[in-house]
Amino acid sequence: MIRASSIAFFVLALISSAADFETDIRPLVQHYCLKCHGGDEVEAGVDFSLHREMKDVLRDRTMWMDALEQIRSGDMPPKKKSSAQPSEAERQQLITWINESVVHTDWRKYADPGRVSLARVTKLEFRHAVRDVLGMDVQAGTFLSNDPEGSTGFTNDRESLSFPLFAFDDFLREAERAAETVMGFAEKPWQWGREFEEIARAATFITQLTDSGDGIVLKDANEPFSFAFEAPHTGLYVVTLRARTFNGEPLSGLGLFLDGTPVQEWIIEGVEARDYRARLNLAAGAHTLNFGYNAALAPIIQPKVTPQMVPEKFARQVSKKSVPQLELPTKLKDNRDAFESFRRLNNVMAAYKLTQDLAQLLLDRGETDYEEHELQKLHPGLLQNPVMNRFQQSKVPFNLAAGKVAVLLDLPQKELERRLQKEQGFSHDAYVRTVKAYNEAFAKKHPDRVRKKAGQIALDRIEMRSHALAPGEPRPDWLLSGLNSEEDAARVLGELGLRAFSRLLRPEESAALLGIYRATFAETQSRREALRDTIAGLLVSPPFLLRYAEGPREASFAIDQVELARRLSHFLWLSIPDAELRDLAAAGKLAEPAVLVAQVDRMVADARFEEFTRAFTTQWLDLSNLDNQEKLPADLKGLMREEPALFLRDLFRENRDVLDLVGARYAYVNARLADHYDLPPVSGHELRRVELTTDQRGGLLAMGAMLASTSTAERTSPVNRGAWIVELLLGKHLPPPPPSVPELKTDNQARTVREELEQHRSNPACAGCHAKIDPYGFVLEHYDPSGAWRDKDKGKPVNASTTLDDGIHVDGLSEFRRYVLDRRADELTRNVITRLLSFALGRELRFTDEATVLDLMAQAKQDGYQARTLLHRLVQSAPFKMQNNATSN
Amino acid sequence: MRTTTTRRTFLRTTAGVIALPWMESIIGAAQPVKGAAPNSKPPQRFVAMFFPNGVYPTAWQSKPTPTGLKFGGSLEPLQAFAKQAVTFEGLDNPLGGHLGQVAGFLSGKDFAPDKNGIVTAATSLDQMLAQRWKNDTFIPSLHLALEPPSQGGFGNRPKSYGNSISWSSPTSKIEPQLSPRQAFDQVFFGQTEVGKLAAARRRRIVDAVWDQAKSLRQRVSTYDHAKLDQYLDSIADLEAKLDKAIHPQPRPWTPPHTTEPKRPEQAGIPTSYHEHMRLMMEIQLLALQTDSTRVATLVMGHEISRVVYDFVDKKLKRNHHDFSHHRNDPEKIEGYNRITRWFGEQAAWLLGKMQSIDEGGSSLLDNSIVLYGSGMKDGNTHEPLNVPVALFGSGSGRLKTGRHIAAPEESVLANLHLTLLHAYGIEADNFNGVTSKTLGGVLV
Repeated sequence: MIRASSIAFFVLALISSAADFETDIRPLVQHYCLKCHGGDEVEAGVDFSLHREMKDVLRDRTMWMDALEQIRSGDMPPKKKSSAQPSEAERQQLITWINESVVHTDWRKYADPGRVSLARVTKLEFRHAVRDVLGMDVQAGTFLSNDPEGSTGFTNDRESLSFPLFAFDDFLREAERAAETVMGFAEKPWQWGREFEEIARAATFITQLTDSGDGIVLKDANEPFSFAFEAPHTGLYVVTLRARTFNGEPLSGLGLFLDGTPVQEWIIEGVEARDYRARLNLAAGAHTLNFGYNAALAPIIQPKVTPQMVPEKFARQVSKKSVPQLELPTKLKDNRDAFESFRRLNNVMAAYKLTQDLAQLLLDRGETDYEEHELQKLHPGLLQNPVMNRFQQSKVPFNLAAGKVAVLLDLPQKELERRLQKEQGFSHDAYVRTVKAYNEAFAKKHPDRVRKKAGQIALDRIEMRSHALAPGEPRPDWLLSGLNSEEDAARVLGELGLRAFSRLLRPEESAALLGIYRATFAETQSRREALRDTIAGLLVSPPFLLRYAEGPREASFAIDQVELARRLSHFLWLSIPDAELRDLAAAGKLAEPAVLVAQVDRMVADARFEEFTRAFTTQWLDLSNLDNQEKLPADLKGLMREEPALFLRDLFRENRDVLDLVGARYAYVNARLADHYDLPPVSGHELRRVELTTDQRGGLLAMGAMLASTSTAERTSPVNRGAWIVELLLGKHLPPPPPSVPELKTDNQARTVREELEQHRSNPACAGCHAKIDPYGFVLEHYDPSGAWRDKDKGKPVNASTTLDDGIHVDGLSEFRRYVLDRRADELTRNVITRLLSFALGRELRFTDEATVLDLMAQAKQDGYQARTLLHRLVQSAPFKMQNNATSN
Repeated sequence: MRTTTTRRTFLRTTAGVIALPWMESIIGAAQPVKGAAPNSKPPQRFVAMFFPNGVYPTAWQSKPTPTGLKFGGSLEPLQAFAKQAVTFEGLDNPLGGHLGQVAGFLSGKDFAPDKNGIVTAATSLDQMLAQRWKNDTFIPSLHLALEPPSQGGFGNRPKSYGNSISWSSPTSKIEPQLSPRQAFDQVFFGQTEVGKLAAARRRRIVDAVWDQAKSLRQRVSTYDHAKLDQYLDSIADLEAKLDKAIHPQPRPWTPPHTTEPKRPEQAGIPTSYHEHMRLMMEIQLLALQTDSTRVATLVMGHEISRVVYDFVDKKLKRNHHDFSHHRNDPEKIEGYNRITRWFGEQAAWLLGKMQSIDEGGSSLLDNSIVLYGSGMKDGNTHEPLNVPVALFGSGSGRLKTGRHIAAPEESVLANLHLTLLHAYGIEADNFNGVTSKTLGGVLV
C-alpha cells in the first residue's frame, strides 16, 4: 500500500503536464480502452474511437471526466485476463492529463456564445402566445400533438422540435380555430339548459335516476353519461353543471370528456348540489359531452396506516393440506390450455381458501388487526402464477379462473361452484361471507383505520352559454366593431402584428397579410370573415410560428433587442413579449444591464412566471412519473406536483438561496399535505409556506413529488431515488444500466427492499455501479412510497444509514442534507445553472459554454447563491445575448 | 346572390337539439355516371367491422362441407356470403386485456403511454392501405364508431382507448367519428362547391405565409436551413393538398353508377342504436361506392360496452359487457349469443348492400375485403386465443374464398394482416416487426 502510493507520487512528479493528446494520450487510449469502447463494440455508450483531436475530447468532456474516476478507482480497464493493464506510470499519465487538460483546462480559450437554432414554438408556447396576441385564452393548440422531451430533458429543446409534413396543416387549423373563436363574440349570445333526467329519458343508455327523480346517478367509470348538442357558432362556451355526491359520502370525482377527449376534472363536494364550471372552445356544430364518475380524483383522506404483518405463527396454523385441488379430466389431458386453466383455478382457490381460513382464525381469536389485503400477503405466489396461456401473467380473481374451467367442462359456473363445494370443500360464497365478517369486525375494532370510498354522483342540471370570457379578459370589441374599411383592417392588423412579431410589421408582411383580407372580403363581402382569415394567416407566419435570430448567416453577433425580448419572455413566461418589453426593445434600452435586471424582476413577479416554474420544475425533476403512482389519490398527486413548483417560484420571487433546494427549513403545505407529512395541522386548501421545526421535511428531497415519483406503487426504490439524486440533483452522468438486468425480487415477506438490494450488490458485476447509486437512495428510506414518514419497514426499524461512494458516512436525510451543503454545494449550484441555461437557450450546453457556467458559479457564490440574482447574471451571459451563426451547434 | 363559403354557415343551415325522426335512408337512387370508362378496372377496398367483447366459444362456427362453408352461431346470419368468405381458427390476439385487444386489433401491437403522455403503439393495417391510396381518393380513410367512450382507466391506460382500432402512426390513434352528420360532412363537404371555396380560402392564407417565408433563408444561419426546409416543405405539402381539393384531378377510376347522397337531417347521435348503426353503414357504403375513400372502419360498440340490447329482444336487460361475463350461465350465454348474432346480422346487411352495387361486371363486395371480427374470444375470461375473425369479398380476386383456414400453432392476427398487405400488392416482409410469416392458403 505504502509502496504503491509512493511510486505514484514519484511518477507524478516526473510527468510533464504538457502531454499532448494526439501524440501521448491517444495511443494509450487506443491500446487499453478501444477494445470495449470504440468501433464495433461500444460498452456503456462510451466510444473513444471518435476522438481524434482535442476538440473531440472537449465536446465529450463528461465522458472523460467519468473515465478519470474509473481509472482512478482502478475499475477501468477491468481486471480481467482479456484486458491489458496499463503500467502505473501510464495510469498516472492519463490521470494527470485528464485532470489538467480536460477538468482544469482554461475554458476561456474555447468560449463561444454558440447558436440557438431555428425551431418552431412548442405547443404550450403557441397557446400562450395566441392568448397574448388576441387578449384572451382561446385554448389554441389543444389538438396539436404533445412535444417530446429533448436531450436537455426539456420539451423546449430545439433539436427535438421537429416540423413534420402534416404540422403546418395542424397549426393552420388551430390558428383558424383561434381566429374564428374571437369572431364568435360578434354572434348573438346563446344559452341552453336542461334537467339531466330530461336528457336521460331521451338517451340510448339506461341511466339510474335519483330516488326523487330530480337527477341522474353516476357510480361507475364504465358508465359515463353522454349526450350530444349543437353549438350555434364557434366560440368560447361555459358549461355549468349542478352536481352533488349521492350516497352520503362527502367527496367524489367527476370527469368531463368533449368529443371523446378529456377536458376537465372536478372534485364533487358535499351532499348539497353546487355549481361546477368548465370553459370550452367549441366549433360550430354537433358535440358530445360525456360525464364520468372517476373515484381516483376524489381527495379522500385515508387513515395513515403502518402496514401490519400477520405474524408467522398464525400463517403456520392455517393448514395448506386443506387446499382444494380440482383434477383435470382425462379427456382434457392433452389440452395445454385446459391444463393451464385448471392449474390457475387451483392456485386461485388455494389462495382464497388460505385467506378465508386465516380470516376465520383471527375472527375466532378476536385479533382482527390486519387489513384484508394484508391477509392475502400470506401466500403471494399463488395469485400471481402463470395463468391461462403463454401470454398472460396477472392476478386473476376467482370468477375469471372458474369461468374458464366451467366453459371447458361445459358446466354453468354455478354448477361448477356447487361441485367445488361438494368435492373440494371450497365455497366462494363462504369465502366472501367470511371476509365480509372479518372486515366488519376489523372496522369495529379499528374505526380509525378504515379506508374511505368516493361517493357516487348525482347530476342535477346542465347549462351552457356562449361568450365565455375568463376573469380579467376584456371583450374583443376593438377587433370586432368599427371595422368599416380596409384602413380599419390595416389598423387592427398593425396592432395584432406588433404583438405577434414583437415589432412593427414590415411592408412586405403587411402586404401579404392584407392580401388575404382583400381576397376574402371580395369573395364574401364580410369584413369579419376577411379579418378572421387575416388573423389565421398572422398566427402561422414565420416570425410567430418559428423562433430564430436574424443576423449575418455565418458570423457571431449580438442579437437585436427584439430577439432579446423574445428570449426573455419565452424563457420566463413561455410566451411572447408584452408591450413594456417591446417598447424597451424598440427604444434600444432593453440590453442595458440595469434595465435587464429590472425587467427580470418584473417578469418574475408577474403571474406568467408560474408557467415557467411549473414547466421547468416538472421537466427538470422528472415529476411526470407521479402519474403512474396508481395508489396515490389524484388530489394528493396534484398537491405534490404543485409543491415544488411553488417552492421554486418563491425561491426566485423572494430571491432565496439556491441551496435551499436541499437545505430549506420551510415547506409548502395545505391541510391535506401537512397531514400527509406529519406536520402540525394547518387549515384550508391553499398551499402556504410554513416554517419547520422538524428536520424530517424541507427541500426537494423531502417532497412527496420526488419520493413518490421514484417509487413503485408497492415499495420504495433506493436505486431510482439514488439515481435521481446523483443525476437530477447533483447533475452527474450515470452510465445506462446494462441490458438484461433482472427485476429486483420483492415478494419476499421478510426482507426489506434495502436487504434485497444489499443482496444484489453482493454480486460484483452489479456492485460497481450500484455503490455509486444505492447509498444515496438509502438515506431516504424513512420515506415510504407515498412520501410519508415511517419508522419501520416490514416490521423492522428503518435503516437509513449508509456510506456514500466518497467514503462519508451519513444517517438519514438530516445528515445527508448537511453533507450536500458542506461538500456538494458546487455540484448542486452547477447543476441548477446548467439546467436553467439549457432551458433558457433550448439547447444542450457544450464545452464552449463551460466558461459561462464557471463564471455563473463564481458569481453565484459571490452573490450568496441568491436565486433571482442568478437569473440577472444568466440573461447577461454571452450565450443568452449573442448568437454565433458560424457554428453548427 | 352571394355564395356562403364557410363551413360555419354550411352547418348553420340545420340547427337544433330537438330529436327528429331519422331519415329512412341517406342513399338516393342509383344513376349511371356519364363518361365513366366502361372497361376500367374498379379499385380494391378495405373495410374493417369490429365488434367488442368477443363471442361465446361455440358461437362462432364455420365448417367446410362438400357444398361449401356451413356457418353456425353468430356467423349464421352471414351464411349467404359463405362462398365469398375466408374463415379462420387459431389466430391469437395476445395483447393486454380489453384495451390492448382493441387498440392492437389491426396493428398487432399493444399501446403504452410514456411519462410525457405520448402513447406508442404501431400503425394499423387500414392506415398502411390508406397511405397507399391517399392520392387517388378524396379522403384517405373513414373511421366510425357508435358508442361514446368510457372514462377512467386501468392503471395509466385510459379506457377511452377501447373505441379505436386505427393508428395513423405509432403515436397517433385516430378518434373515430360518432356523429353521422359529421361523418357525412367529413366525406362530402369538401366535394361540394362550398367545400372547394373553403379550400381556396385556406390556399390564400398559405400563399401569404409562403411569401413571407421564402426570404427567410437569407436571414438565418446556414445551419438552420435544414429545419427551415422542414417548415417550407410542410407548407408546400398543404398547398398541394389544397390544390387537389380546389381542382380535383380526374379520378383514376370513375364508378359506373352513383347516387345522390343526402345529408343526415340532424346533428348529434341518434337515440336508436339500431338506426345509428344503419346510418353509419350507409355512410360507409356511400363513401366506398363513390370512391371518396377506399378504407373504412366501424367499431360496432365500445370495448367495455354498456349498450343494452333490449331493442333486439326485450329480455336483454343487461348491458353487453355484463352479458359477456356470462359465468357459463345458460341464460346469460343466450343473451350474449343474441347480441353477437345481432352484429352478424348488421354485417350481413352491409355485405348485401355491397354485393348489390355493380361496378361494371363485379360488385363492390367482390372488389373489397371486409374484415369482420373481435379482439377476444370468450369475453368471460378475456380469452386471447383463437379470436373470431372472418374475411368477406375477394379484393378483386386476390383471395381464395369459400375456405376455412386452420392457422399453424402460435399464429397471431399480424400473420393475417401481413397476408392482407400482400393481397393488396404491398409486398412487405414483416408486419410491424411482429411477424414475417404470411398465412398459407389465403391468397390466390
